[in-house]
Amino acid sequence: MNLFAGELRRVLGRRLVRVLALLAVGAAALAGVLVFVNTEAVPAGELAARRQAAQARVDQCLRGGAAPIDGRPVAGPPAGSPDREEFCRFVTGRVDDSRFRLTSLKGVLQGTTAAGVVAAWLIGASVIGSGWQTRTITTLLTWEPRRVRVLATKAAACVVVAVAFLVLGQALLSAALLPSALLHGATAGADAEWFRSVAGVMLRGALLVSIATAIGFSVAAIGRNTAAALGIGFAYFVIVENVVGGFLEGFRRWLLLGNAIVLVSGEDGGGEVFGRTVTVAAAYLTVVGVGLLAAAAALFKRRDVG
Amino acid sequence: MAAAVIEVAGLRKEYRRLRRPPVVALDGLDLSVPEGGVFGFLGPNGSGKTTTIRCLLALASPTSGDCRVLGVDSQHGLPQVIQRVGSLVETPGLFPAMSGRKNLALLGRIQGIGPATVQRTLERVGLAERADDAVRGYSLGMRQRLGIAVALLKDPQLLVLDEPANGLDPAGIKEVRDLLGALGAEGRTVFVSSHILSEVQQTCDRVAVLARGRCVVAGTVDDVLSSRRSRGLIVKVADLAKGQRALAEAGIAASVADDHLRVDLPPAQAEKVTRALVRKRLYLTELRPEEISLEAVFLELTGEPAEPA
Repeated sequence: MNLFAGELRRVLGRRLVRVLALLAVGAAALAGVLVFVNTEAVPAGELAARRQAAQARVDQCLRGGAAPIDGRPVAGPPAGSPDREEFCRFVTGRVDDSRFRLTSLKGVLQGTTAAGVVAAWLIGASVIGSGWQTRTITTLLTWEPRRVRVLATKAAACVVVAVAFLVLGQALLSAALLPSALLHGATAGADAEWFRSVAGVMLRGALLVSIATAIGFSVAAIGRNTAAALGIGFAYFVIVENVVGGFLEGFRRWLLLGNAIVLVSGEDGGGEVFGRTVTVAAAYLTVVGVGLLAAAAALFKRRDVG
Repeated sequence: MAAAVIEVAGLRKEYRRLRRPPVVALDGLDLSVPEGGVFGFLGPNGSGKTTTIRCLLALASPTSGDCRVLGVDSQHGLPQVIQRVGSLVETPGLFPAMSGRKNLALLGRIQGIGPATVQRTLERVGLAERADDAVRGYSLGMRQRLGIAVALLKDPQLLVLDEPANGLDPAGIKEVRDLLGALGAEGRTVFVSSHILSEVQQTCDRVAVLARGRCVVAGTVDDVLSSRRSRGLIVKVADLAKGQRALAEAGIAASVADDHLRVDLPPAQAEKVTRALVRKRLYLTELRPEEISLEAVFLELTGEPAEPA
């Protein structure tokens, strides 16, 4: 426990973690301001009037009248066309509702997971990479020679910090959007089911961030270098995900990105991996993360330390 | 002899290289370090000093042979005794963004060592005033002191120090020498590798000299000094050339060196020198046994010059 507490303090003391935290605070504040400025409160009466007006335009379009697009009248599709109503609703039925919808928060939080994954990779890779560079690993091993314990503790500290970074970042972003939700917002649809789905997004995001930390950490531990982890990560996403994934359709179900998208989406068969369930995607990514960590630990135990 | 705190038997370490023959860093090293006092571990660059220390601390695994530290096999049993072993391997690995105090505190926490001990250790190495500055602002000498503090923090029974005086100024070197002497006098065992031979000679009770991965001599400093080149005599007379001729006529080999003659006779036979010179009416201004430095022995044993201090 003492070792873990020390490692946690070392990770938190890193400049990279502080810079990332500062960027997260800045981004959340900026998002809060931009959303607030670009939304407005719409009184219920006015909203009803706008809906009525939109419906009137749709009706006019369905009757064969010209549908105004960007203020210019445009003829609708021919009478009898099966897509006629869909066309009219799409072209003229839009209600000008610039309120901030609380339900859109779920998508926003899903989007932040990607940034969290990149940050987690960086944290995991840089903590162990700098340990090799500054030779603090050597010093630590002269106090705790059980190498697997040292590596596992370092990895655990990185995972805790990365997950905390994601969860606090998401909480901060939600707080930054709160004024928009309270003053310019609409809470329709934000029921218990919605809250459960948001909690699911955060939990799956936390799992994905943990796995990303473990992978970044493991690659840097094996390469004994932060740059190795960053370079391999870049090469993987550019070459393996795009080139190999593009040419070998059957291979794509084993790539990380597609499985990560399924996991974050929370929808079975969603994303780019056809037929992949969320559970299988989570299990597969966990096996990759834990497997790489085990390989890093086995190598760390065997190899000489300078 | 006291019980050995470090025992090395047949230690061999090869570093494998791709498509090239392996480098043999240690070639069957045998070494025994008794408990208490300061033990100097000497050798030229690449002789295997640091590799030996790495094997002792389980930072490197030997190709073959045994290493025992405080009675346990260092490769598997080190965790049992690590709280009694303080060490410094080459330049100390420290977190540059953290203060010296915080670096010590985080390591100390692993073994339940509190801030009072950290403060005492900082004072002992002369870093108390700069303890709260970030390590990245420390000079090389200050980092070295902090490295020594890391080794001392556990109040260890055995200290393993690899070149602890590296980067220190003359005053710092003297402080480290005094510190090592004091630690040895307290009953601890200090195993120190160094290339500053004059310091080793002044500080250490026992030494081992390493060359090409093997121990070429080990024992007390006096034993090592006397075991090698036989001591000669230093003779001073007013006319060195005449003195050399007089000694040659008496069958005594002598060579002129600077302002004196060096005579190849043991000190016990100094009488022969005085008799030969007096016979030629040459009178001594000085006659004394030649002092052999550790550096001279080192050169003789390793065939390499000692590294500059």
